Amino acid sequence: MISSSGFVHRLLAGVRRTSYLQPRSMFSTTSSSLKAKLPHEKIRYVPTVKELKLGSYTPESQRTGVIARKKGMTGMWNEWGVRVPVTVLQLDRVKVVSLVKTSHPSYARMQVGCGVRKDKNMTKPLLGHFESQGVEPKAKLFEFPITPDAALPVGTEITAAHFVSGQLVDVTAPSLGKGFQGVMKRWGFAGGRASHGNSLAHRTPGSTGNINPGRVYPGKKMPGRMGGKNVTVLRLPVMKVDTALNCIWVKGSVPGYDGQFIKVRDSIKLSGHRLFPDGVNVPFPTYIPGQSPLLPRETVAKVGGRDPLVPTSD
Amino acid sequence: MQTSCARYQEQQQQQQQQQQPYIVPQPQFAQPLVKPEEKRPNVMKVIEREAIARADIDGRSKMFVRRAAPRDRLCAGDVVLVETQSSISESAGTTNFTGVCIAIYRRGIDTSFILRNVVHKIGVELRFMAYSPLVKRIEVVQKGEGFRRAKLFYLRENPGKTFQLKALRKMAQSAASTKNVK
Repeated sequence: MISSSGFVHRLLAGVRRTSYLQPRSMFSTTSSSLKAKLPHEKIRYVPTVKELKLGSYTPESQRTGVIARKKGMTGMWNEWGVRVPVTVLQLDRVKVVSLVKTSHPSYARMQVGCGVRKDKNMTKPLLGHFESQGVEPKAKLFEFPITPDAALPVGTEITAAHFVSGQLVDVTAPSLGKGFQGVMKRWGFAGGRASHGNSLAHRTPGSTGNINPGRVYPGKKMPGRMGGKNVTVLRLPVMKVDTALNCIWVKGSVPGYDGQFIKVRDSIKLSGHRLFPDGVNVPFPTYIPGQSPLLPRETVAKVGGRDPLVPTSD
Repeated sequence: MQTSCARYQEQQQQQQQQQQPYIVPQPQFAQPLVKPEEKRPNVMKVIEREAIARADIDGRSKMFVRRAAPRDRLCAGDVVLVETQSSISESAGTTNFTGVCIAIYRRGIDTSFILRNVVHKIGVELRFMAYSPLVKRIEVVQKGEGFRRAKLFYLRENPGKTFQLKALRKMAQSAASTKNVK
């Protein structure tokens, strides 16, 4: 199963492919490509990384994401004295578990694990997977699409310093389950009148179709189970990075309950936005304690702009 | 009185802060504020503790400790003077508001309280976030007596003698004069 989400997103963002990505033409006439490829022959690319070394970030690079745990919400006052609600996401022993085999460098992926789980609670196939990679059994695994220059060796720990305060992140998690819900809550229908003779139809959907075709279309919005689905919130600014507690504070709210595993990645839909603030040293492929420049324990994002509490002259 | 050397150093520090693309919150805590008896500290508790320690420049957190004696903490019924600035860039223009504290909400870093006063025959209530950087000073002008509730919302309908203008004005004046002396 090959997902091209990373490639499609970079394409939509108008990013040019670099020279090392050789496009495969469907209509190539070399003899090797004319031979039909069996599945195991097609999936033969693994991102190679010799050592853990700092690289240089380019706008076409895609760093790995991270799995964090939602710890709760609090508030902070930014440099202008404006209160900002924040969600605290803690990185819990996040490690690179494996470099995934895919068909092409443009689909490079890396598997990242978070937390720790007891051996007795793991299936044997999973235990074998962790043993073969030499990583302790992780509670949550997820694959992130990357560019080959962002690959990390297996077992590398990713810390909160991977993120830069002021950058934008996308956050994905299953939303809170709401159970079986009616059409007003689930789809925002208006319902019926509260009084004036309305009989038993205060919260009903009303009509479900027309005389022709005389049936209900598939996908018609009706009552059903609401919530519990993966939701991605885009472009949340990272307000603070705390390297001692290993957590990042993102502005606003994040789907799911406290303690849940949240997937955090650098924002990809950036039309009209900046991923990283100006003049920042992007830790690429991640923050490496021996090699990356030392950071203070806590860094808070600079909002910039003009003071919002000073009224304009208009 | 700051020496020219100290002023120069502060200027240099400020310039450095401005050049960096991030802000380092002051004072810095190199180690998280974890109590020795906490074997597996709760991240949110530690964060709240650090945030309050940072915002607690003038020791105002002592006013909101629930277990302190009534004379040492802020109580419902106290007459309080709050000095606020309207924005960070205009730090000189401060506003004073004096009123009776009718409610206190102890919520960690979001601790707040409501002050009620009658200004030009109009009842005015203002809610202040205790740890906001725009709140410069919180001072108990006079301790309340005879208030037996935590929330004094009944004062909106039955103020009694609580908002007698003369008394509150006198207290505000005495507070302002003590501040000048300091």
